Amino acid sequence: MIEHQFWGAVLRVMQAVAQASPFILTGLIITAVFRRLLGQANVRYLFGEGTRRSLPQAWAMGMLLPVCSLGVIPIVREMKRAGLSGGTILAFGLTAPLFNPLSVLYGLTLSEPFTIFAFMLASLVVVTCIGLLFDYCFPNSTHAEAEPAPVQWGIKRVLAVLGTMGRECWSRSTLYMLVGLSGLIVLSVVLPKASFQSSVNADNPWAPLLMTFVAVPAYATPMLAMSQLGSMFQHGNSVGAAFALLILGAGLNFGIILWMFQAYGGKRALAWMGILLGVVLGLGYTLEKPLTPTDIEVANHTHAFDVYCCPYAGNESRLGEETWRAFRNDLRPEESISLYALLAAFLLGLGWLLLERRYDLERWLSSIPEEHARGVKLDFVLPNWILGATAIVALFIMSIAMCFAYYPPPGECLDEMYIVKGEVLSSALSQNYAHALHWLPVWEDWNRRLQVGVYLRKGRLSEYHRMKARVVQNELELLEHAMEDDERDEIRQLTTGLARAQLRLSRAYREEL
Amino acid sequence: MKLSGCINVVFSLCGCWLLMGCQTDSEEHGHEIPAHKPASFYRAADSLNKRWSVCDNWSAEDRQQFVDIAGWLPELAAQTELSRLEWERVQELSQTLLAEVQNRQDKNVAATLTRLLTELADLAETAARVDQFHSQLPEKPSDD
Repeated sequence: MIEHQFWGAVLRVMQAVAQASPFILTGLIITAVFRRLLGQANVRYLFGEGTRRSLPQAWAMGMLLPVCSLGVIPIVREMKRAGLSGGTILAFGLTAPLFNPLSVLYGLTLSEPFTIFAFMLASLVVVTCIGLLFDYCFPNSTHAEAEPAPVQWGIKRVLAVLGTMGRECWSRSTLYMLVGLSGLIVLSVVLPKASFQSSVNADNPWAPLLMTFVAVPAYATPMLAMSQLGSMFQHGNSVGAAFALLILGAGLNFGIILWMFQAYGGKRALAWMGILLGVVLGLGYTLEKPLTPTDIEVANHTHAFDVYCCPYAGNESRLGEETWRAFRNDLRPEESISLYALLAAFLLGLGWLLLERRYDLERWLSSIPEEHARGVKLDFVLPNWILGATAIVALFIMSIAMCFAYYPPPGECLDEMYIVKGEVLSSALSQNYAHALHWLPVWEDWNRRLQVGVYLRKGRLSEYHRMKARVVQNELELLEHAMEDDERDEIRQLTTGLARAQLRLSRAYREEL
Repeated sequence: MKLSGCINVVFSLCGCWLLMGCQTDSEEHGHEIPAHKPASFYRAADSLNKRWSVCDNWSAEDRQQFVDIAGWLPELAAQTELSRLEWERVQELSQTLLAEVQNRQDKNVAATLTRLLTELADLAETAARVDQFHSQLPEKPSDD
């Protein structure tokens, strides 16, 4: 049993590192740009420090920048170094991992887009209330640290940004991230396989509270949290629990909590946590009734939280191989690339630290190039803050542009679904359930991307097209359950129904848009 | 560090305590499908027409089942070869049926509902006619 729990925890941590890697990389880039190009004064200006709009501004910045609750750690540390107030930092730190353009678009095409708007506004209420209270109760939370000398132009600016990214990998940020991942180990050990399927049903008054205890140690990327929200709405689970999952599951982890204790002290951190949990639970219970969808058939379970439970039931063998196989199967191409990039950042950081032992790199970075000092160069040198602002704006633009790549046009989605359909149906019929169950979420994912892709390009998605996709989704869920229960007659019937539903979906999206 | 370690332990213990009720849920999977949910759009239209013909003797349960079936119409129609325009008409019919069934005692409303159900039956016939998989028509007589 201990062996299963060990390998289960290993798999969950590996999966989380892979999912987090693009966001950690983004977090490192933002941190380096803040420190080396923007500078402390401009970072304070960017977040409206000292003005009334600082909290909503931090919320808006958090909405646009694509980071998760691990990737945000180096950024909040840099914000603290820049002398921003605790309320503003915590508002940004809590919002940035909740939403990004990709996940908001995903949420808006769910059956209840109003709920997503309500959740977004509720998150603004949460961060504003907590930020105001924090700054009111603890007014002296700002403390700017010494700033490195400005980097001079040319290749030095690029090297300074890369070097800062690398150095940050070998800083306490990584320690906090590892502590953040420890929550997954706790959950994997505490929660047996598939044990959280019916715990947050809408008729359970404890559901928001229960979810709070699971969501704090859990780690969820913005997209994972949004897809779990979608699954919860679809299955008629508790809306209050969904809200707690979004704010605490995506926004918080043990690493951020530890950082808070070290940065602000136990009293302030406990006060902030207390207010946060109180506001989230209060809002969760308030939203429960008005936002519960009325047009869905309530299911008595959900698979959305299987990812937080131990992946092994206890009857598997060769767990090491199985863990590696499961990790490789779940690894997406963008995660794979980000993992290599992250590895490169770590190596670069190591090299930078070793070089710093022998040479004064800071002095070299801040020294004016000789040819310019002699007045040979006549070209105009852009100030660092312009490059920094451009980099941040480029990140905003990229996070929006990436939506078009992540949610391709319907034709591409349907071509992918056609391939996945073959894998699922053939393996389900030949009783190769493990293979079918691996591909089934991929089919579900493309089904969602298809809808979001149309919404993104047309500005709306008709009820007709939503319903065609919902039929496929329902059939996929039924097939999943039938395979889990080895109901062979039902599987045969469902594969036929699914093939027809997919054909109708394809016709609707290709010919009737 | 000591304080944060304590926090980790507190969270873990609280989590363990709250999750004591989480049993491994491996025996029962699946979504409960109500017994009165028709298998196809054709059957749903047929069932609604039959139920409507005896609406004078409805119990509260009969009325609720009629409402349920009317609510399922868009989903069932999406499982047919009906075109987008035809499906949107089914959706409108469903919404009107749901809105007006409360006032079925009113003569004008009753006449309207009868007309809507006739139109629904026509659409169901169309769906059965264009059904390339022959999945709409019942293989055996409906229980309704």
